[in-house]
Amino acid sequence: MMEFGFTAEQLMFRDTIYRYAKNEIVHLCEEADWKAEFSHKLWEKLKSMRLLGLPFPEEYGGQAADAVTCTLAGEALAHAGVDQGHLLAMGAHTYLCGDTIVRNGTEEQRKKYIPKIASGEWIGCMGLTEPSAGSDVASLQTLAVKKGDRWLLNGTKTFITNAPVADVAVIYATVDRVKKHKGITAFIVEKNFKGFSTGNPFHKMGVRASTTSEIFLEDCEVPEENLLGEVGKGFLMALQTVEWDRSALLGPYVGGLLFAMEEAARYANERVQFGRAIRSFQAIRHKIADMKIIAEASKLAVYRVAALKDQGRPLNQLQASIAKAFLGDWGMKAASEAVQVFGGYGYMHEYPVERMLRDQKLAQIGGGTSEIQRLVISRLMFS
Amino acid sequence: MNYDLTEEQKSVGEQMRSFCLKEIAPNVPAVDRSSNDKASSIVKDNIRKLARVGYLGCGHEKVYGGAEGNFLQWVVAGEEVAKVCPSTFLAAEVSSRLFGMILTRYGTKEQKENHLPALIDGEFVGSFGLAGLTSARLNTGWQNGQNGWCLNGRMKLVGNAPFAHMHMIVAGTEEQNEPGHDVKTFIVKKNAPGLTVGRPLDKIGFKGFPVADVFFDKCEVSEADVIGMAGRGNEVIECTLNLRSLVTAVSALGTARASMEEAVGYLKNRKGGGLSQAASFKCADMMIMTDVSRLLIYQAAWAMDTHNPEAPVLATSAKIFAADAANQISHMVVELQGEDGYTAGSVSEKLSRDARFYAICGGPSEVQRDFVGTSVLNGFRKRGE
Repeated sequence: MMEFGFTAEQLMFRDTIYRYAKNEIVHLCEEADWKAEFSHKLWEKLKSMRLLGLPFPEEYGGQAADAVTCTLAGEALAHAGVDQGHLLAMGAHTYLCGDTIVRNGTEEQRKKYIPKIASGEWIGCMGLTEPSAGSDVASLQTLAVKKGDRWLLNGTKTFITNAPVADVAVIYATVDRVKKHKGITAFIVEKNFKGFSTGNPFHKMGVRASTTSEIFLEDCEVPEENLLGEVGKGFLMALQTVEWDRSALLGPYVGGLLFAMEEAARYANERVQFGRAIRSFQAIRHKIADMKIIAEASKLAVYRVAALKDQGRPLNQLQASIAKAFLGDWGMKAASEAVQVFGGYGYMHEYPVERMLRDQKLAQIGGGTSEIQRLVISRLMFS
Repeated sequence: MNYDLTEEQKSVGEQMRSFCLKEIAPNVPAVDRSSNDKASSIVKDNIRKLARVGYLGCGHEKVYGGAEGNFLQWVVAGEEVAKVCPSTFLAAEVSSRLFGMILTRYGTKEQKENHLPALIDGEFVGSFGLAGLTSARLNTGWQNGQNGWCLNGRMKLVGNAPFAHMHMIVAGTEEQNEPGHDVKTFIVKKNAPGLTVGRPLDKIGFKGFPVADVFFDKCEVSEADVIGMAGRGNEVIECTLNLRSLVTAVSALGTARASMEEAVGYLKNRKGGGLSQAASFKCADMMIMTDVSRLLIYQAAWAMDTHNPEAPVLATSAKIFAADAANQISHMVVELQGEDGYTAGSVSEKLSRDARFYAICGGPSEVQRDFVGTSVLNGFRKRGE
């Protein structure tokens, strides 16, 4: 039966995080964004709230939270005003790296890595994208060759969130390029493994406090026990993360839309021009209305993916792509309108809607561009 | 959190789909191309057919012939009717959901006994008149006449008025000095002295949904025909506005889906040439907007069913989005079909004419954006303001 409300427990959880973020975290964000620096101080706060291993089983130090709750955590943090950079760092760490090990790892691997990831002591990242393999995952070039009791990895990964600060990475490589997606295999690679190095952090338009760089694998030695799952099953594992990509990783963007809407509403209530608050101009009210509608619709589309996951049902590709494309494209409109309400001030770094607009752009690109979503949707419509 | 329809809701939707295809769809071209009178008589017939399968009774109590059920269930069924024949849908909704639901929720036992069975039966049709969104702007005034109330003035664009047996009229006071009593809702029979229904309007779409102005010249209404308890006039208005938004949103969703299916069907059956990326992405956009409209509508219906205080904002939001979506999607299908779409008499031509109504009816979208924007803004004033 249809139920769009959160449980009392989920609401309490959200309120706690929201308040904590307002009081303890938000003030750290502006400087981190300006300097494009990952804030370890902020990470400590997330650690202390035990937010870095939300979905993991309790025995590994997680909280066994459901997908709706995980999505809500990201929403609440962004709604309070936490920048998308740190939230992306958290997402890549928990969902793309940690949860992939939880799902596919051996008991030893889980015991070794998950408690460290759950506590935030180690930072995780995930290396899939390559210079010539973005949306076209099956054409990835990084090669894994078995040599005795170890694997040798060679290749370059790019746009890897958290790479410069990560202690551990889930790396996708192919054992045979000809096999395309059937050759893709995953490995758990620690930063101290021989042959593992990262490039200089990229200068990004938005999500600046998440550090992003290349990963270089030069005869990188990975012991056999760090093979994650089976040989050739990496593509499916990467696909599994799409469930998180379209739910928990979008939660922060839903929160960002709420944050921007509320900032714009407060400003419109206070800003006086021509002797009256600008809220008395219909065009301003209409912008606020459109932000509200887009925020509501985004919320519905994103939590639908999370709710389905919590029912243990397989990802609905159509719904997942709709969530991503809508939040990406319509969210961009809403973010742009938020800046517009602030006028000249909105264009200034001092006002958080400026950052919000830059951050929002990633929602159209990261984790599958809006165009890829339309490709998926139209294929499903015409199949 | 759960996004699943119940098995019952799904099956109601499926039953309505096959019923509408069989019983309503065949006469849709005739509705669109006939004179006002002929078109609305087909629609009246369709309303009776919908009554026979229990559609009009959704949300009404069993004692009056209703089928119970909540808004969510009705929305699922309604989308199917709206998709096939929006004229029939709006006419049926004005009668059974606006007139009928206000009666069910706020009418006296006597009023319900008198009017509901005939309404749910499809025997009688009700109209609904509410010109303007706020009580302060209502055009028709009431005065405390000798035998009850005396209506004077002009109600603009009353849906169903030309063929209604009864009119439900929301009127504002001429003397604004009685707080809490400034808006009242009346039932007026079609032959009441002093009531005149104007000529049915010619419209660019919705050919079978008859709309006319209604004029009141010292039209007397007895106290027994006033809806709602004293002082609850505004509650009746809020319920009316929510219903009106939801009805319009569902109609728009129907048109959006019909347009999308028309586009996909056309492209699939077209001879020669592959599917261009521009065309397939347009279809993806249609899907995104249609699906999001439906989500917003389901949420609004859920909010109304659960008496959520956000229901007015959510229902209005659903209407605004769905109206825009229907407009855009119906335009896209004309473009996708090129000269086939631009040809008079094409399916997409009708869809885009119908779609023009949604930003206008059920409250202009501009006024509704004002309402949503103002509601949000009011929530973020500085303390003490």
